Amino acid sequence: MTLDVTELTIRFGDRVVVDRLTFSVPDGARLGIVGESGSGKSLTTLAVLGLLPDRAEATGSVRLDGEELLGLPERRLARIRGRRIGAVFQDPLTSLDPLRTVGDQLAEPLRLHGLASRREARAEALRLAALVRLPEPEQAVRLYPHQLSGGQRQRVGIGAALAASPGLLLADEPTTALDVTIQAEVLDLFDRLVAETGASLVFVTHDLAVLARVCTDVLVLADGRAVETGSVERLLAAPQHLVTAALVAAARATSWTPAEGEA
Amino acid sequence: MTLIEARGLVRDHRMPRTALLGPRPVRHALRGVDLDVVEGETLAIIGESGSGKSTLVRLLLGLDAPTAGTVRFDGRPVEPGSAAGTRWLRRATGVVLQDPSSSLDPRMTVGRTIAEPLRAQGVDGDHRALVAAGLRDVGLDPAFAARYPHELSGGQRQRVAIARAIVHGPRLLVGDEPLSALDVTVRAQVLELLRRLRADRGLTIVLVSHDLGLVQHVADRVVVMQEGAIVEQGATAAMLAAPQHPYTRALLAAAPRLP
Amino acid sequence: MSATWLRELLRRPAGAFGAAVLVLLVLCALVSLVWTPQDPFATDPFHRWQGPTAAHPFGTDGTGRDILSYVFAGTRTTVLVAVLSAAVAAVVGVVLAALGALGPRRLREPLAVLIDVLIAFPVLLIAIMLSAVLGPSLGVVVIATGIGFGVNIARVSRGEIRRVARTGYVLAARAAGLGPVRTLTDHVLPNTAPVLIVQLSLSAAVAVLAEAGLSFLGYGAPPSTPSWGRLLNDLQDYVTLYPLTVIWPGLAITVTVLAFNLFGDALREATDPRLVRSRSERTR
Repeated sequence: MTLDVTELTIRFGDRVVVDRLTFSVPDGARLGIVGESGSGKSLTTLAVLGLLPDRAEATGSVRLDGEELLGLPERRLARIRGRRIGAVFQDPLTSLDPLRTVGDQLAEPLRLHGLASRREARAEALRLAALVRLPEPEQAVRLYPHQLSGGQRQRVGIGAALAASPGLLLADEPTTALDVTIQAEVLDLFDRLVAETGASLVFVTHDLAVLARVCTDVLVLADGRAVETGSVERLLAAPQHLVTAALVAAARATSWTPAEGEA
Repeated sequence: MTLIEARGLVRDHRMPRTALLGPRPVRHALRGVDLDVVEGETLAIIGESGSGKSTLVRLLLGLDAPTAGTVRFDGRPVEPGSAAGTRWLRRATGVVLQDPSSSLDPRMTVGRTIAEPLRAQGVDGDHRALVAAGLRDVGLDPAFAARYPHELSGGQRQRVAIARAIVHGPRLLVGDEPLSALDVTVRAQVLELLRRLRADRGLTIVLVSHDLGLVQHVADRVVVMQEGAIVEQGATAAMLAAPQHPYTRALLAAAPRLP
Repeated sequence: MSATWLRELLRRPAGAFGAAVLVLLVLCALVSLVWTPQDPFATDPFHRWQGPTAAHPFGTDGTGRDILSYVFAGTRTTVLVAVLSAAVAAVVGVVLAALGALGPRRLREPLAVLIDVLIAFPVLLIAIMLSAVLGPSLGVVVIATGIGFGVNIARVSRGEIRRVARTGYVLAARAAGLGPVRTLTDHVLPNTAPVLIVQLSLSAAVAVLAEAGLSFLGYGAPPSTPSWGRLLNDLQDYVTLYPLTVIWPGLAITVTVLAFNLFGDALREATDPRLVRSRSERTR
């Protein structure tokens, strides 16, 4: 599924927070959006989902396989969210409903879009639990979110996002709240599932090293503007823009680099 | 010279009852930890959430009492309790917490916040001048003293938190994940600031972190914790090059790195 | 700093209105101690049930008393009850909440139970009972509403105090060497203030209503004390014949209660640096 964002502008009153942003994600591509806090990267994903806060006003164009999403009535958007676009958010503790079982939430998109009966949903929940490698899927679907670890909760979030086999997966800082080793496992899971399902991926993060692990292309945002875009490799090796160069330099100065000769 | 000497530290947390009349379950946050911190060194304590690293530094600072074991600071026993009884320890230590948006009181100006250790410890002298000097030390204009936390960026807030931690001239600076809530360019600046403070003041620094980048760039020595115990420790370069414990290896393998 | 919050308070319509009414009430109460337009208790059989006239702008009641003077004098009862009752509620509420949230572990659970038990006490009924036995008195009203509402405040603010006590800045303050009492006064109470201010203004308003209600029933203010509730009671038998007369004490009660509530909301906003700044930034 292809996503084309053209001249997307988001305003809060007269404050412009995303400024004429244009990018596209071809079918099956993996685009990482990187930027510091306040760069507008999260608002961009919310705009694609039609979930901007009420005070925000978006203009421009967001097209999914050629269909304009911006300005669609809520009923039409609701049919697209969860079915054609799956979304994973940062905090798995707050993005899951504490009062409903894991199985319920895994299969919810299928039920919402009338893709599965109650009985089928139960079987699907099991399949999804196994897909995202929850330990002991049979038991896991009966648990509540608070009975899972942070990493397991995020697996549930990913499973639910992929339940209806969407053509586009949006992930907003999905591993930021997780420990390093858990983060590595969840990133591997992303990598594998996106490859298996052939979905296009938009991955929002502040961490270039994380981005490099799952994405092939990158879009750098600063103050709501696109400052540079290109392949991850090229951008890390030869950043063209000052902002990108500073970002890469800071990442190199603070992130871990293994000693020479080590595997 | 050894600045901190911890022996046999155990800390159990009693959890809420799960049955009406049953016993309260116990969670072991620390299971017998020995640790020495040498004056002037920068020590990193790494491990995942729940490994006990934050509990350990709270015990070292006398902010929490161990279930068993002892802590000595500069040869003197650390006995948590009354504010008056731990004043000598407060004078010698400063703390920077993870999230600068919650570690600064939203209703206090930056100036009052930074002066808090001076007021609390009854330090003599011109507090206003000391606060201004502290702000300059962390690279902020003294005019910042009149502002409120919500008027500052994340990096400026963390600088304020560092100024509060060093304004009274402590010997030990403790950071509990001091960089993890910051943007990457800000992180590089604060990291540089920590290095400079260490060089200028000869501070002993203990950093709690799960960030191997921070560890590699500032720490002389690393302690790795898992499930309330120290599983490996040693000089930073040596350990990162040749980790011994399986858990340390897993941690190193998992850390994201730039290609 | 202290001037800032006052300016902020008066800039808000709700705050300006609330403050104006409350200042007026206090002034009336003080003046009424030495001067009222006429003697509020002087009866005049020749001028009963008068409509508004130049001599009696609010009219007179069934014994010929000047209603304006009586309402005027009644403000001191209202102000006294509101202030004392809010003070009792504040002390009871803050002490119980602070002990219940931060006190010795052994005390916390029993205190939580005690608060729940006290909330279940029918304080107003107990006040009526005590008045029936001891004779009507404002002291009973103040103690009953003060404790009754103080317990409510404790219940509502205990969770808030616990939340603030777990924040990073409280930990940082302890690490800086601040003792428990100073931590409470410097950080915990100021940051619980939004909840406390609203609750205290509400408790003052409820105290005004409770005093009026109890006096109306004959259990609050003794006959020698001018009270709006008692006046309403005196007027009620003839309300169908002289409906205009009850407007004045009724209006006084309504406006006072409204003023306390609006004042509380505005004060909460005006003392929060975050809200204040965002305002000034918008106007810039």
